[in-house]
Amino acid sequence: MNIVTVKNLKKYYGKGESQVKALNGIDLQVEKGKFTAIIGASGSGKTTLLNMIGGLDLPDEGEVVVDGVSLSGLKERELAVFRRSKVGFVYQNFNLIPSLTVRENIQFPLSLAGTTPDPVFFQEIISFLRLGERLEAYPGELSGGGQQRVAIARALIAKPSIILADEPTGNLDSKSGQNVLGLLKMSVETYHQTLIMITHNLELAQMADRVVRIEDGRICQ
Amino acid sequence: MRGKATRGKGEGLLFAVLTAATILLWVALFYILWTRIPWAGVRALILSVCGAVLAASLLWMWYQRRQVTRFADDLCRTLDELMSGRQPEDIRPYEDTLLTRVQGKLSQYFDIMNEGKVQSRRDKETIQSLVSDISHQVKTPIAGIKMYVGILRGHSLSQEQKEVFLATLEEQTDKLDFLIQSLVKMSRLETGTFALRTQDCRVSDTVARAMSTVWASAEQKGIALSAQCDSSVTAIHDSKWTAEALGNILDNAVKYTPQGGSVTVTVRPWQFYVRIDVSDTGIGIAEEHYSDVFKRFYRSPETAGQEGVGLGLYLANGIVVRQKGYISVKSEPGKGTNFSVYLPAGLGIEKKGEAERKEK
Repeated sequence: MNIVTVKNLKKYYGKGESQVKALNGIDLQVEKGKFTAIIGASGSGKTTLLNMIGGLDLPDEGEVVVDGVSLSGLKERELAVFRRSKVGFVYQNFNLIPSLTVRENIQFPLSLAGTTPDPVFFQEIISFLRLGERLEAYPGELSGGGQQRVAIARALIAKPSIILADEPTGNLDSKSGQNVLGLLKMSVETYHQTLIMITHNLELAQMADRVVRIEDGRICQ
Repeated sequence: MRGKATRGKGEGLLFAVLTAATILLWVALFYILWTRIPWAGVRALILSVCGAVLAASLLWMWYQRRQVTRFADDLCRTLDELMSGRQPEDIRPYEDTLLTRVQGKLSQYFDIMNEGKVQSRRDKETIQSLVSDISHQVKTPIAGIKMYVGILRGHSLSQEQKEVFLATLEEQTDKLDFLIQSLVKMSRLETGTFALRTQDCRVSDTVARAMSTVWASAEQKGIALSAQCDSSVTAIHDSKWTAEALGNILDNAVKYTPQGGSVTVTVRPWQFYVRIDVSDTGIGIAEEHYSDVFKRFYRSPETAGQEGVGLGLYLANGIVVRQKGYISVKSEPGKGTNFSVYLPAGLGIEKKGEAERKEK
């Protein structure tokens, strides 16, 4: 069963001579509950593709269907709800809010939706990602790996069906990178989530169930 | 039209009381107006204002009630659709309303419940493909054995020739035995029937256990086998099965390393994982086959000359993954391969001792 279907996706930047084809006809199907790694050189269109799957960016042509709903048919407000309830994002530079504690950062997406976390699930994630002792700390007081684990907890808290990770280990040394990715893989397996991860590290990509290579805005097999 | 649910007893009583109170209030209003206010115009004005307020509140009540009924109707429709296994139609799942929020949660719940069904179907398919794989793998050695038995029985052979055939026969039987054992392990792994007893215990013991299985063959090939492992490192794992997994990796390392090479095991304690590296100076694996080597019955073309059925690494991976660990591989063809096994880190022997003392 495919949770994400991407059909002939195209995205251009600029016009005329200087036009850049960020995505040049991408077709991709992602199976539910699988871990897909997207690899490719920088500038090959990986991030653009991920942003479109996450409803952060709209394509010039083609469409993205997530869980049976075409994203191009959604209004801006609906897209916001889609991102909030369906997708969890993990970024290279963590994107935590420095003035909030670890606990507040993790619960932030829920407070936006006007709900409170399921306390049992919250505890489960915290112990899973071994953040229990650092809940009242501020992100700045944590190591890179620690901050990324907070970001992962934040992505998981709303129980999204898809986790989109853009170079989640890019800012970490290889040791904490392996550590963090191991935990991320384990959590998506535990909660039957679908993980799509961008990386340029082949050693990390082999942990995925499937590796997709992108070159110049196209998928090459 | 559904949803004309009858009112409960309590609700009916409340309704009666409210109606009575309203009538009483109106009577009181009339009485006050006619006794205290002499001007007809003012009386009419006050009366009409009160009437308008009453009408508005009645309208509002009716509207609210209709909203609730609609909400319940829509919800029931969604539930009906889910119960009959259909995807709910014409809902806009990402609209920010109460209804879509509840509908969203409902279909999420439905999906989770459905997951079990899908899983059991998948298990069934796995078992089917397993059975066909097994019968396929067993056929060849059995055919061989039958043939040799036929030769031994049908021809008059000298004692020496008989010995040669018997030796081949034994070899085939051993192969079959090995195959069957691997297959049994594999099927137990696939169907999840083996019990992994994971506990926080020493990694060095597990490594030693694994290395003991390849010691002889390494010696025979003149391969230097060595290990670097701090005995205080612990990981949460099942020692017996993990030794089996490591043994399989080591067995491969020894098998595909030419004479005079070396195989090294290094254990590194990390923050959340204990990393066990098995590196050899063997023939290596091409990058595009990194993930293939963990597949069932996969054998790379270069290994055709070696014995094996292509289950060792598959088993190793399965065992490690079931213990919440993972395996990665890095290799340079012609130079050597490094397998890294990551196991969830334990407390370490010192802290573990402390914790145990505390418990007592």
